Amino acid sequence: MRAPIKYVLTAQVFRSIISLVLLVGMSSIEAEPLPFEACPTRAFIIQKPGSVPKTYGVDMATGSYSTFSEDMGTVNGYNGVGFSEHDSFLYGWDYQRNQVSRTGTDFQITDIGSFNKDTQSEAAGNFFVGDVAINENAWYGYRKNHGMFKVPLDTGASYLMSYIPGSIDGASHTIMDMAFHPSDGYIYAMTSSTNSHLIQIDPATGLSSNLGLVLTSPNKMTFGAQFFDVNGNMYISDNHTGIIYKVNIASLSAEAFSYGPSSTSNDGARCANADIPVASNVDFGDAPDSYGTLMASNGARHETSSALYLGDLVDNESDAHLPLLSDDLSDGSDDEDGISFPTGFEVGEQAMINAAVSGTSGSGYLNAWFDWNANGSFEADERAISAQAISNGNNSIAFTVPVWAVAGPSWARFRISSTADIIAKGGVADGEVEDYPVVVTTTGVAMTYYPNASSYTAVAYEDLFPLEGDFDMNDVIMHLRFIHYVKSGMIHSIRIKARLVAMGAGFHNGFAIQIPGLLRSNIHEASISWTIDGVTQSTSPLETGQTNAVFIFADDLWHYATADEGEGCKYFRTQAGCGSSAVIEWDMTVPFVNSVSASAMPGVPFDPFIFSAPGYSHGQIVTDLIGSDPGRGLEIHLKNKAPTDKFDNRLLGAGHDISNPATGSYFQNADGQPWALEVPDTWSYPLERQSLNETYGEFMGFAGDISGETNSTWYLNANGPVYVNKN
Amino acid sequence: MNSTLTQWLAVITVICIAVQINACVYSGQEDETDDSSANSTSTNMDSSSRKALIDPFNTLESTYKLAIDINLATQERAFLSICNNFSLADSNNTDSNTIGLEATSSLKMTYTVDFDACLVRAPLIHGQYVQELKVANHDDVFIVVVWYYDGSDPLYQIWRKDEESQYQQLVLD
Repeated sequence: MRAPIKYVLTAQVFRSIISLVLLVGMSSIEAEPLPFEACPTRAFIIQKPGSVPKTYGVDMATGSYSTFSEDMGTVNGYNGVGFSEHDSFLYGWDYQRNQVSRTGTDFQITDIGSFNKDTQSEAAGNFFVGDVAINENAWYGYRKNHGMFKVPLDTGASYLMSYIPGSIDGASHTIMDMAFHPSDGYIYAMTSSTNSHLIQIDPATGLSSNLGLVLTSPNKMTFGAQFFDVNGNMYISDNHTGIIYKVNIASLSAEAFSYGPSSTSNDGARCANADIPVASNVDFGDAPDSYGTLMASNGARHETSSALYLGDLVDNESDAHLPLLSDDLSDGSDDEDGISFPTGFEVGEQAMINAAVSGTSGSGYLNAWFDWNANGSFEADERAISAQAISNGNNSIAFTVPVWAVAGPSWARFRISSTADIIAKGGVADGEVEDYPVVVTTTGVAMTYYPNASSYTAVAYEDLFPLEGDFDMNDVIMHLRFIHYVKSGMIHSIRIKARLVAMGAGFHNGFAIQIPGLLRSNIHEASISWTIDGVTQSTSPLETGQTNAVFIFADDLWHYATADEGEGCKYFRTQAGCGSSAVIEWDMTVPFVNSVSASAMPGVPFDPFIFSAPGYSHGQIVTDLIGSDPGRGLEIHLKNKAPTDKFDNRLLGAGHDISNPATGSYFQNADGQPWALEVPDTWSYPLERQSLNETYGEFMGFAGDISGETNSTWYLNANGPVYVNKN
Repeated sequence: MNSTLTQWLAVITVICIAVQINACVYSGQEDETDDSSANSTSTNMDSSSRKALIDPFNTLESTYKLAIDINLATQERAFLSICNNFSLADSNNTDSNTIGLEATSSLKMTYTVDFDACLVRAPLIHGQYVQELKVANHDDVFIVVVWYYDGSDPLYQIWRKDEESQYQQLVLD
């Protein structure tokens, strides 16, 4: 007989058995979902393009979205979803379980436990309209013709869904979603229709009020996803188009805010107390904000990438930089480089633009607007290019300037995107926006520029007249650009752009431009339009009491600039180590009463001059000569330019000045040196108290040759330290 | 110390002081509160004996005149641009020593033109445009672009300043 086999339960065997038991046990228990971060800024969009619900995370500012989950663990619907600020989970109606279920970071629809319903809740069936309250931890569901229903979510593992008594009386509206306001306690919903109304619902009673009509469309709108931001702005997503509208519930107005994903089945959830941040990869336009440029104005904005853009460059900003402080000028990277204008824009005539497209996607759609009536906004009938398909490389596009367009300066906006049909404002998930200043002319009008359409000539002054100064020629420096509008050889208007560049002067000086030989009476004064730093001026710049046309840009330039910040900085952009980013610009358009022959028109830069600001002293010698401050009577002009009618002739030939009107000699000393000089460039001028001769050694060779041929580009070759102007 | 030497030193000192005062008078002051240079009661200083360094009739203009005469044999609507910022398409090389308008090459050249950097933007009237412009001395190369509205290729011509001539003209016909 054989001996019995003994089975020995060793520790190793015991551990193996326990591990196996645990493994089997754990596989039968569902993993608990984890909550989302507290109050995320992205919106959750749940769509069911096929049979399986998917979750997207939408950047509200641009409408760009990413897929959070391709499969939520159900083949049925998940709707009426809301974000709970109480525990940072999503709660929505689970079509598979016929109850409210929870979703966490795994995006799996999870059973919350024992779920019971009262009689009316059982009869209501499934829900697709719902949200989680802000002031209480409860999910609310709405069913048309049934009423409002509530599920408290803080009752542990057993939940009861109950009908809110009397709420059926407020359940007559066709709504696809609803959302709790972040702070006023009400629920709001936009109806689905061609005429969409805003409904306000009291969650306590379920009774509703129709606040009014907000949106109309020729096509039915279905707003399956509706939510709020922390500022009480409501956002609604149209299932058909994916357009997210921003609704102002106080003014009952709405506008397209961004372009998100579209789907026949759409539901949304968002933390109502989250703001709408701008991501780090967003491009804004540059036009004045009346066109919708800043984020606060729902400005045009695009999420940027290498996939699709205009030109060679695209940059990102947290918000738009409005003119005159565009980042294109300040950061050395001008990304307005994708559109060029080979023709002008003549009223009633065809025009052309070139669009250079770049990116890995290879193609996109171009939309463009021109403010043809120059009213500061892009209207629907000013959309010159509509959803034009374009591809990588240069694309020439023709269109017609409408006959009702207004001649003059204006703005144009160009947007490229993979979304075809967009408006002039709002966020888009890809592409770029570029804004350009443009000029509309009447037919046959030519524009000539000095020095050119994007550059300036500099006029530099010494202001100690009639005494010599240190000849650093930076007491006042202005940049000027001149545009002539010419038709058939006749100039009918001019435009002057001026910038204050530097002031190394203790005296107060004004700035003006005289046009010698152009009579004041030939200026159509009532039609002069001018701005200072983009602000339209209501007063006339045309000086009274003058024979010639004299335009006063500033009575005192120190009203517009301040001394640079920094220790020892006394002046405006003339001292080493001192500087300012201020841009001070004038833009003046002057129509004539009668056109002037181009051959008879005085040459540019006309006669720009500075003058002693009224009410200020201009040196003891002047006071001794005149017996008082000079008032308006002291002017400093370019060499051999005669002063205006306002000049006090007692100053001619005084001090170091050898002016002699009989010979046409003005504003020069015995060495022939001027008190004012034009340099046809955005010039790097001498530093404070550094003479022009020392800084630009070639100048005297140039000045000594009356033909102008010696050292003709002396102003480009500094041999001393200069102030490099970046503005 | 030798009295003679002392006297000479005193004279030299006085001379130095006088020179400094004179320099102060003619250099002027930038600060309006320091009018020391203007305390002189002389209001018409006699400087007629000083030799002028700059001719009194030299207005120091760093520019030249450019006479433009465009006369194309076309009645088609066209738009003229004369610009100074351009490059060969797919190339930044615009080096050439040709004076005036360059002869049209048998190889079609296309250019990338910055239409924001133009001196002239004008519709051609029956193919014609005439104008005289003032141009900065350093602007000595331009591209002339004639753009047609019928979809045909634009016309490009490069113009260069003739440094040997005082009369500059841009003629295209």
